[in-house]
Amino acid sequence: MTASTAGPFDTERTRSVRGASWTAFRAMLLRDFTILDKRLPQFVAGTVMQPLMLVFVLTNLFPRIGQAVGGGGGASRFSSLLMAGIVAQTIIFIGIFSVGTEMVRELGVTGEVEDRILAPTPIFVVAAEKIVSGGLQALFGAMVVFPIGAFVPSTPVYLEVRPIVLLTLTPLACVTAAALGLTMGARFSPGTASYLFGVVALPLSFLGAIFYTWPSLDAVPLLQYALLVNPLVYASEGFRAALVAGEPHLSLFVVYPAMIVSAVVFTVLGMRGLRERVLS
Amino acid sequence: MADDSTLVREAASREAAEQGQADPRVRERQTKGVRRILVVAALAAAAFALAIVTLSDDARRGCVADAQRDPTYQARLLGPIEVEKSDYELEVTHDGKPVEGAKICASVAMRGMSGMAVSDLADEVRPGIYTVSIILEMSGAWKGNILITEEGKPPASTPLTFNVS
Repeated sequence: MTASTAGPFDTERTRSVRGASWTAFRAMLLRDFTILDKRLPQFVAGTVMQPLMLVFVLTNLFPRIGQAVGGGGGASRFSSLLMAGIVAQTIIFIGIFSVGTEMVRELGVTGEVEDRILAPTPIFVVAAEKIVSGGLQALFGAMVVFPIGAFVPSTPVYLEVRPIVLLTLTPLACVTAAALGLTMGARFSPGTASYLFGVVALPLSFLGAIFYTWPSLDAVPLLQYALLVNPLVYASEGFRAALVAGEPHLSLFVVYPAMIVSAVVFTVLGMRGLRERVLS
Repeated sequence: MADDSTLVREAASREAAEQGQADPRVRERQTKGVRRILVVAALAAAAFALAIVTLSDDARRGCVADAQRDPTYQARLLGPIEVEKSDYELEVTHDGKPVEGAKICASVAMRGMSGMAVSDLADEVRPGIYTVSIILEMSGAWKGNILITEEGKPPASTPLTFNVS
């Protein structure tokens, strides 16, 4: 019989940093999905509820009680342009709340992220895994909005889909949202996490060109240009370009670079914040 | 007391740990979890695809198309127009001739109360005659637009005014 020397602490078997990082990345992703599976009903309900309520109240209930936004023939137009905004808002909200609040909990309460940082893997891998995991959840949220838009409104919604724009913009928006969540999660502590909704999500949402188009803010130029710091504006306008024909929107030559810059900036800020939190 | 299968699973877990591998029970649970998530994601993707087809249906375009007002088109509701009645027949003509096979959308609101708006895509029941489902909740003067999209022609609109008794 040959004695085996292989074991969990075998120092002879070594892997490259890249190989070890890839293994750690997959393991962390699998772990996040296992946790997601355990709270799948809550996740699905939480994802569906916000767009469902917005679409139901604004495009089903209001027209039926004589308060249709846009009035007369404008109700359908409003419902159609609202769809793009709600897709963008759902993606950003899932990014903030699935990645952000999870990070706050894991950094400040359970210390799970610190355990992962102790593994022989760069902090970048931990951050990248959070972004991929959050991005996939945001993608799920984006897909769910469309059936809601198809079957809930009482005024017809018409979308003229530009597939290439939709297929390129959606992943970009998901990554930006998850990176934003990473930044928020690294900057907020459990004690201040409750402000995430009131101080970050609400202003982002109401000033994110969800209920109106950015060019329609011509009448308020100061606000119009101030809103360009809000990444949700670019996502909303991008989805408007991808889904709604005949509506003025920000040029895609502005939307794509702004989304890419947002994704990079928030990823860097998130990683920096994460490093500061775990190394402090 | 543990049964045989439990003992076998525990032995497999110990063996896996000794070899530096993941516990097979944990791996099995994770695989099941990921499979469940994939099923939910596939359902969401199917619903997304169905919704895109539905939302892109040209028939819906009638209510959001940018249309020029065209006086050569005429539209009127047939039969009594009453509060709480929901189905109406709409006659659409072009230069006095029935408009057949067009996509028609009716959007109406009570005069002076643009918030009290209803709209519906019409279905053709006879040549030039379409049914619309709109609930007119108050008696009085109503006005609106009929959007008409005929094959090969740009969308056109014509006003519609009527009194609800």
